[in-house]
Formats: sequence, C-alpha cells, structure tokens
Amino acid sequence: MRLNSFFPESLLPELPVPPIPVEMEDSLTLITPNLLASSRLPAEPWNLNLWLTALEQFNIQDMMVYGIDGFGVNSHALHYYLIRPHLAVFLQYPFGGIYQEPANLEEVEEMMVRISALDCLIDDLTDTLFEAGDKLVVVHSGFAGTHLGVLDSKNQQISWLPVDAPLLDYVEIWLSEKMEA
Amino acid sequence: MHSGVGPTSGGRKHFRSYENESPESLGPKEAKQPRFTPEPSGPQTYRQKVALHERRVAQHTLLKTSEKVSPTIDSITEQRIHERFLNIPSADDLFKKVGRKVKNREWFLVNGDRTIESLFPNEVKGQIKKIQELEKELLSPSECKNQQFGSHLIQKLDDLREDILKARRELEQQQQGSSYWSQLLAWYNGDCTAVSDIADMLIHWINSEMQLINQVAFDPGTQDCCDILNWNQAIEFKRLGYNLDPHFTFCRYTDESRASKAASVAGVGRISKAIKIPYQENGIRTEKIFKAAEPVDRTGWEYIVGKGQYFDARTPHFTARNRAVHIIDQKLGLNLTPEVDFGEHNNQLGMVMDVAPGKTCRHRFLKNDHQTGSLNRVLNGKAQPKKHAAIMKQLNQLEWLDALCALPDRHMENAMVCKKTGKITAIDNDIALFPMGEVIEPDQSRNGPSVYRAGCRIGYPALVSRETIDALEALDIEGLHNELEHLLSPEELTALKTRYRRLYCHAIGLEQLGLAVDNWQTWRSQEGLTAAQYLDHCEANRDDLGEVYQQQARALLDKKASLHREHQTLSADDYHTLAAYKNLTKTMYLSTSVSYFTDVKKQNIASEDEEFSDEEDS
Repeated sequence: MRLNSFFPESLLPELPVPPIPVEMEDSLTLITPNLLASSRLPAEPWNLNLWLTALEQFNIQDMMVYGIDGFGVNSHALHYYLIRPHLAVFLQYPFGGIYQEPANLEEVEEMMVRISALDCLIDDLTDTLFEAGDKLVVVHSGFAGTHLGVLDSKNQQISWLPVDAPLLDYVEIWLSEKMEA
Repeated sequence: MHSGVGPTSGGRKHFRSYENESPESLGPKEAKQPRFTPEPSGPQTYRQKVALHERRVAQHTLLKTSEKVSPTIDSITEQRIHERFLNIPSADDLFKKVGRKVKNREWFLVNGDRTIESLFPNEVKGQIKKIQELEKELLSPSECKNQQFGSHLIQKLDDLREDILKARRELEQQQQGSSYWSQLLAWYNGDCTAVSDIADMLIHWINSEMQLINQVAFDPGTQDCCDILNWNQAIEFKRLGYNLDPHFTFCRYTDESRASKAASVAGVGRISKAIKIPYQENGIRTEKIFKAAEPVDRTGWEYIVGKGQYFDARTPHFTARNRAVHIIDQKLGLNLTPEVDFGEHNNQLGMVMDVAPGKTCRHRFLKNDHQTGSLNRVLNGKAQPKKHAAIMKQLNQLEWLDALCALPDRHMENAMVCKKTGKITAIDNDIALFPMGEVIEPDQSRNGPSVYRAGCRIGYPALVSRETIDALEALDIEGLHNELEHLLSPEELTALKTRYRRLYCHAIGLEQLGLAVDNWQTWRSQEGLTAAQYLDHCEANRDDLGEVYQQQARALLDKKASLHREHQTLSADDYHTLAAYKNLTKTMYLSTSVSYFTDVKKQNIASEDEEFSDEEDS
C-alpha cells in the first residue's frame, strides 16, 4: 500500500493564468489537483464528445474549466473550456503525456486571451446575432480537430460549419456575414 | 492572421499589467482602433451604469445600421476584457485566490510544499511503515496461515483506525490534544469540518485496505501464488480487481530487479505519473517505463461505445488489455506494440513497458495547424519512397490490429514513429477488446467533431497488406483464445473470435476486389491511384464507393453461401460477416488522416528538404 498514490502533485501553478469570467470568481474551485472549474462538470474535460452532447441536450450552465485531464501514458491534454450565454469554447492542447512534446504555452495563453476578446465581441453583438440560448461553438482540439458550429437551442443540435481559415479569423468572417445578412 | 488581442499581441504581458497602467499607456494599436469607446472598470455608480448602458445601446445601433462595420476580435480593448474577466497577474495569485475558498486536501497540494505525507501525523506514518514491512512477507502455501496473517494485518490497521478516531474526537471536542491536529487546524484557518474530512478520508482508506486484505486471504488462487507474490503485491492486484492467478498475476519487474536506484519522470508526463526505470534482466540492462495502474476507468469511453458493449468500467484491467493487445500483435507478426508486463514500484502496482522509439505521429507529421512536421515530405511520397511505403504499410497493419482488438482510441498522440527507420509503435492500448463482436465505426449521420460521438473510429479498412492476409490466415484463433483466457473475460474472448472471423472474411473479400497490396510503393488501384491517393479517395467519396462495394459484396455473399452449402466450411455467422461489406465505405481513420495531412500541408517543404538532405533512405 502506498499513501501518496492517491494524490498526484499539481502542475497548474506552472501554467498560464486563464481568463476567468468575473462572475465566476466566487465559485472557482480546484476539483482535482490539476483541474480548476467554476461549477460541477458534466463530464471529464478529456471527453470532449460528451461535453458537446451535453451542450446540445442538457443546456450546460455557464462555466469555466481549466487544467489537465486525460488517461493512459500519452492521452493527456491541457483544457480551457468556457461556456457563456452565447459562446461555448473548447480548447484542448495535447499536454502532459510522457511522449508528448511540451505544449507551446505562449500560444495557449494568446489563444485564451483572444477567446476572452471574442467573448466580449459576442456580448456586444448578441442582440444582432443570436436567439436566446443559441451559442457559437468553437472547438480547437489537438485530437478532434478545429471546428466552428452554431448551437440551435430549440432543436438541441449543433450545426457545424466548414472551417477553411485559421479558426478565429473564420469566426470574424462568419460574424461579418451574419451581420450583413 | 491576427497575432493577439489589440495591442496585446504579446498576450498576457499587457493583460496582466493593465491595472497599474493608465489608459494612455495601453499601446499604440489600441489607440488607432477606437471602434468602441473605452469603458471604465471597477465599481460604478448607478449613473455610470446608466451611461454605460446607453453607450452599449449606441454601439449596437451602430453595428446594426452600418453595413460596412465588420466585427474583429482585435478591436476589443483590454479595458473591455477586464470588465468581463478577472485580471489575475500570476498563477500564484490565482491559487491564493482559489485556496482561500477551497477547504479540501487539494489545496494542500498546490499550496507550497505541503504534500500529502504532511497530512499524516508522525505516529500514523510510523505505523503505516511497519505494516508495509509486514506486507513484504510472501504468501503462504497454507490457506490457514494466509488467513492468520491477514487477520494480523487487519488488527494492525484496526489499531491505526482507533488512534485516528481518538484524535478526531479530541478535535471535535476542541481539546486539540495532539500537536498534529492543532497544526492541521491552523492550516485550515480553524475549520474543524475540513480537518474532520481528512480524518474521514484516512479511515475510509484504512477500511478499504482491510477489505482488500480479506479478499487476498480468501482468494482461491492465493496458495498457488505463494512463491511469486508477497502480500503487498497481492493486495495491489486485488485493488485493481484481478483474481490471483499464477499464470498471470505476478510482478516481472520489482524494485529489487532495478539496475540502479535511478528513476526519472518520463517526458513531460508528470500527470500520468510515468517513470523511466532501468531494470536488470538476465544480465542485460534495459530502460523501461513504469506507470501506476488505475483501478477504475474514468476515460468516458463507456458512454461513447455504449454501456452494454463496453467492459466493466469498475474493473477495467488496463494492463491486462495492453498485454493482450501485445500478444495478438505478436501472434500476427506485426510487431507494432511495446511489450507490457506487471511491475511493482514503491509498493505500487503498475504497467511496465518498453520505451517506444521515435516521436508521436503528430510531431512527425503535423506540428500545429500551420506547420508541417519533419516526416510530412516522406508521407507526400516525394522523398524516400521506401520509407513512405514502410510507414503506409505499418499504419495499415495498425488499422487491422485496432479493428481486431476493437481499439477505437488511436490518435496522433499514441502512435509513435521513428524518423530514422520509419518504425511505427502503438502505445496506450488501454481502451480495447470490448465484449462485442462489432467492428464499430464513426457515426456517419453526424459531422464535425460529433462524428466520433456514437460508435468510434474503427471501421473495416479499405486496403489490406498481403502480409496481413497471410497473418490472419495463419492465426490459430483457438490457440490465441487459450493464451488470453487469463487476461480477458469469456465474453471478450468470444467477441475477439467474432471480430477475427469478420475481418478475415473482409480481408479475403478485399483481395478478390483487387485491394490487397503487395507493394505499397508500386501498388495502383484500378483507377490508377496510389495507395495514399486511393485512401484519400475513399475518405472523400465514401458514399459512391459504398454502392459499388455493396454490389460486389452481394455477389461475394452468394458465392460464399454456395460454398457453405457444398462444403459446410463457413458458419452462419460468416454470412453476417460478409454483409459487413456495406461498411466498406467507412473511414480509414489513421492512414487516411496521415495521407490527408500530406495534401493539406504543403508549406515549409524547402526547409524539410534541407532537413532530409543528409538522411539516407532506409
């Protein structure tokens, strides 16, 4: 029997600070030594597919998740998930496995900052673009690929759009087209 | 392409320092883009809030009325971001903020040097160490002696539990008699509940250990393992849900067989807790990877594959699955997986495996969204055609192995490729060998990332290597069944046999359709496509090709049925297997992905040329 086998050390203090929505400050909790979240999770962050299913079918409440999750020897990733009234972001960078290259944390940090700006932009444009409950869904995963979708809350389905440009550039193009329409 | 948020192309550097800077110092780019008027941060009066609301309404009106205004992420000011997001300058500050609110054991782990050992009082640590020493005793061939020894261990743990309960009672009565509990209380800012939780955690742990000891004492296989297992190892096997079995539950690698005391954390994998340890075996020093085994499955695959079709997530037996996949791999002569065995390190049971050579497929083929990996040019078929053919062949063989083992979790991070030799090694074979005979596939009714949500990435491969056909033909499936019966459940073994029959028929069918590849360098389809082009074509035109396949499959089905009537060589299940041809349209997940990458990434080829200029084709 080994005592500390239950308690892995935390890597979180070595990672960049994620953008944390102001209203989630009080509810922020370490749910495992390597995972920070603002509320109870619908699934382990590693299981992106389950999150997307939950987003479609169960209307996940607004939340933020940040940290490392995974299993096995090399199936690990650094996650930043942000669910907002009209935006759902799922960033998943391979990180933490024994054969994995160290993730480019500067790139991760920059992406998170840009996501926070995107959240502001969506907030500014909300009245123009979205029905209540609808969300822009941004997926950038080292395992599942890069995808952009729109959650139709009435039909409980995400419509996926082809992404043929760098993700956030494409988001801007999509927003422009949507506004013009 | 955008490089950052407004003036903060460097990202966090400016983002962090915002609170200490005046609006004028926020940077020139922001000043050039006054799309939105900067808004004040911090506490606001009612009047300020009204003014802010009016300004937002005006902005929305502007956006609605002006067709020429296009929204850009870079137009958002830092000030605007700080209205909606906290401005926390460093990880330390974040954890101080979180730690004030979190009253649980996790906080100890991230707050400075407090490790879990520091949670235990010295008396407890001393008693645990004594019990650990006792558990080094080998199991006895006598059932009676084993039960007596188990009782002895349980008595020791019971004493420990009593001590902890006593300390907790003192704490609840605010006596603070023990200096340890007083210290703990101080750490938790006087929160008795939190400290009580820790005591509960310890008691829960002791109760679990007592149950495990009982299980070892009364396991029918305990006596048979008397020469090969000590009590600690037996308890750990029970913790992982294995029945004791001398054919299987033994630790080939222990701390005694280490070549030296050196052990290093492997790669950046501190999360997975994998350690590189040198072992001495038959006088040969080899470096292996040790990874502590996880007793329960929390991967979430159960929900994707389907509960009824998945193995028992409470006792996933990941090491046994890895080992079974390796045995199947060896029986087929593919040599694609590392050798896996049980090992014990620091009183903990885990999986010991060979170090996989090379780097991940992602690193080799695709560094990130906009940059190709160093082997991309090889995969393009334009450099080192022999190596290209070797890689394609191995990826195809891996696809067949994964289909046979029902392993849906292959991705670019768990297939390694050696740059020099092109050798492919598949790691992380935990999620495999389900108790269902289906060769499951992506959900074609979905698109985007949802495609893998129902079912998974295994499908019937679209091409087969001639060697794979020969290997499948030569495989003694009954012998394999017998060899794996200690590792897998009867349902899992039956499912393996079913998948084998289906895949073997599928391979024969592919051969008859001219889709068996003798030489991956020179093979051409009927349309004149290379193997990589053909796989891309299958991926892009899966529905059209599906019809063609289906017609041919029906003809083949009739032929096989007539064979069956004449010679009774095929079982009824094989008819069903042949119907699987309609699924020929499905994706080649890994081979196709890799060949797909060759088309997408055509940048940086010049630099790759330089990289390969001094490298010979193997």
